[in-house]
Amino acid sequence: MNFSESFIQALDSLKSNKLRSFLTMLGIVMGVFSIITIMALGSATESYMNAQFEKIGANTISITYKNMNVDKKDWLTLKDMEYVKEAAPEIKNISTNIQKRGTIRIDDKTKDALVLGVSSQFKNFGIIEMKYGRFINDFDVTKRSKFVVVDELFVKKFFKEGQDVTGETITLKTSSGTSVSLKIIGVMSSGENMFEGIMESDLIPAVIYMPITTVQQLYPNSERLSSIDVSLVEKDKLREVGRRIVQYLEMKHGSEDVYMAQNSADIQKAFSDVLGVVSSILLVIAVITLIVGGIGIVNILLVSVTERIREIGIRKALGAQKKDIVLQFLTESMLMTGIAGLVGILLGVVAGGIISALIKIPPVVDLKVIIMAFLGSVALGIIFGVYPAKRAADLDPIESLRYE
Amino acid sequence: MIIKMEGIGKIYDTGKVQVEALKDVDLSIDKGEFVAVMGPSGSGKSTLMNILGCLDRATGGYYELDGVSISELDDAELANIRNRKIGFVFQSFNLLPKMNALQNVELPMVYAGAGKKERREKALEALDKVGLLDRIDHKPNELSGGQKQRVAIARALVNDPAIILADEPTGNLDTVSGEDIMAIFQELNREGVTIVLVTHEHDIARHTKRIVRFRDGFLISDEKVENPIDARDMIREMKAQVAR
Repeated sequence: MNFSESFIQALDSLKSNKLRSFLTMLGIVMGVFSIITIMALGSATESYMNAQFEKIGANTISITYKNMNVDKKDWLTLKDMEYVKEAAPEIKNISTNIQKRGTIRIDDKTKDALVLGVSSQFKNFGIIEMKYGRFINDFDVTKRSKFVVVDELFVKKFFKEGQDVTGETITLKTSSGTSVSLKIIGVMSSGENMFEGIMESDLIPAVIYMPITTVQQLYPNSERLSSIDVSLVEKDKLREVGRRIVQYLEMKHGSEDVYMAQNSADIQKAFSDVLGVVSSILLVIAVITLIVGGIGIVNILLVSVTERIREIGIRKALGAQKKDIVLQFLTESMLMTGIAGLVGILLGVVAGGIISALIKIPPVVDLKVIIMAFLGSVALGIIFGVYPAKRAADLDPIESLRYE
Repeated sequence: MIIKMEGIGKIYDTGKVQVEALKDVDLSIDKGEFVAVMGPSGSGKSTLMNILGCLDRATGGYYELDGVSISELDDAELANIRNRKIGFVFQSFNLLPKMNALQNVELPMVYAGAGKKERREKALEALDKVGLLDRIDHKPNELSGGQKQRVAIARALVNDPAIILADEPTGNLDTVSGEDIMAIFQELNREGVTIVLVTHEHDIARHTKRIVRFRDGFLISDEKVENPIDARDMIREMKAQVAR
């Protein structure tokens, strides 16, 4: 008996037990579905993250405190930006920011705000694209201009979505109680963000950008910078330059072990590592699902062998060899896992697409993963089919023919 | 000579007890014979059939079927012999319920590796011999007992076997259908097919040309049937009775 004949036979057998075949296949469908979805989401997230890092510019170093509570003498201040330049003359950009809280009022609407005081080169470090107007420049910083840059979400909240609000004035009340009028000089695009829905919530403060000097003037005791960020042209010098800057700053402050340099490559790697671990854990769970599904198949095939003892006896009496019977059962189990694999792949790709669309990450469909998943399913069919098939083939024809 | 058995014995070893089912059986059957094997249950006739049908091996003696010495064959070769040289007809028909008559008849040829076209042609030919050409696409549950047994006979014939082994083929049938089946066997035998039939009904055995009797594992008698019953006469008689 050849393969195509046993294939048709297996198809008939599955069709004559539709519900049972379907339920049996469900386990494999779930397993393959989970694997495909996890893999798709994993690679989508990774490529999304890489793209974001690419935009930021992957060659950045962030100088921060090792411990958030530091003595006043160890505070990083605007003066330290000069030291950084001295320590590492090869840096391309340098930027810093301080973060304060305040309340914004426009007409009768108020909202909590996170006030980011930034230096002019800040825009070279983030994913900042201007929709209208311009970002804060050197001149604003020197002049301590009462300018503010907002984003599209802010406009949507206080004005009308998409409106060009440059030139409008808003009032900021600082946490220490002073009120100040600020002129909007630019609107940043918010872009597609997976957390857009959350960001629009009232619980999340609006983020506004102002010249760092202006913020320092408005808030007392605000010399302390949260970090100093520098960028380099050469990626492979990130670690060395970071170390050099930290050493130089510590020397200038006369302290030891207070600062650290995080470079973007390390952060990116850390992100990937975390993502990798999460994906692996999920994959292990998916594989467990597959194994459970496979055991279901073994179970059902064993039932099927018992039900068909007589049929096997008849076939053997008519001249079926052991290998014919093995082939018959293996084909059946391969067909089951193969179909289940295809369904799982299909569902996985669809689910991956839907989830990607929901969290606004471009979906990534890896053909290699799909082919592997399919071949894997068929292989599972063989693995889980062998034992029942062997049991069937080893049945004694005389006993089988007598079986009721 | 189609069948040559010399000193055939069969011992079932169940671990604790040894059961001797056949003892030193000598049996020869020539081509074209029609033999009935009779005996009470436990006489060894089923064991003999299993050995004749290559479903089981003798534990002693020599068995040759159609020139092939069976004793030395392995499982795969035995399956091959069953496929090509033996046609089985069972008391309970043993058709595959999900297949129609044609597919059931084709089945032995599937295992013989015949092509689709050849399979269909020979299966139709065999179904024609048993007069069931108008039922080829019926599943077993859509056929009467007699019709099922005719499908089974067609299936037994389809690979042109050296011998047909029929195990109580009329046991599940009413008298008329049984007579029909015997008529088919007799007709096949007239055409030269060798048939061995196991039965415990004397009336059925009287349709054959030779009766072999077993008791307690021994072959106790082997005699020619004088004036065998012609199933065609029986059928005619029964029809006449119904008419009256």
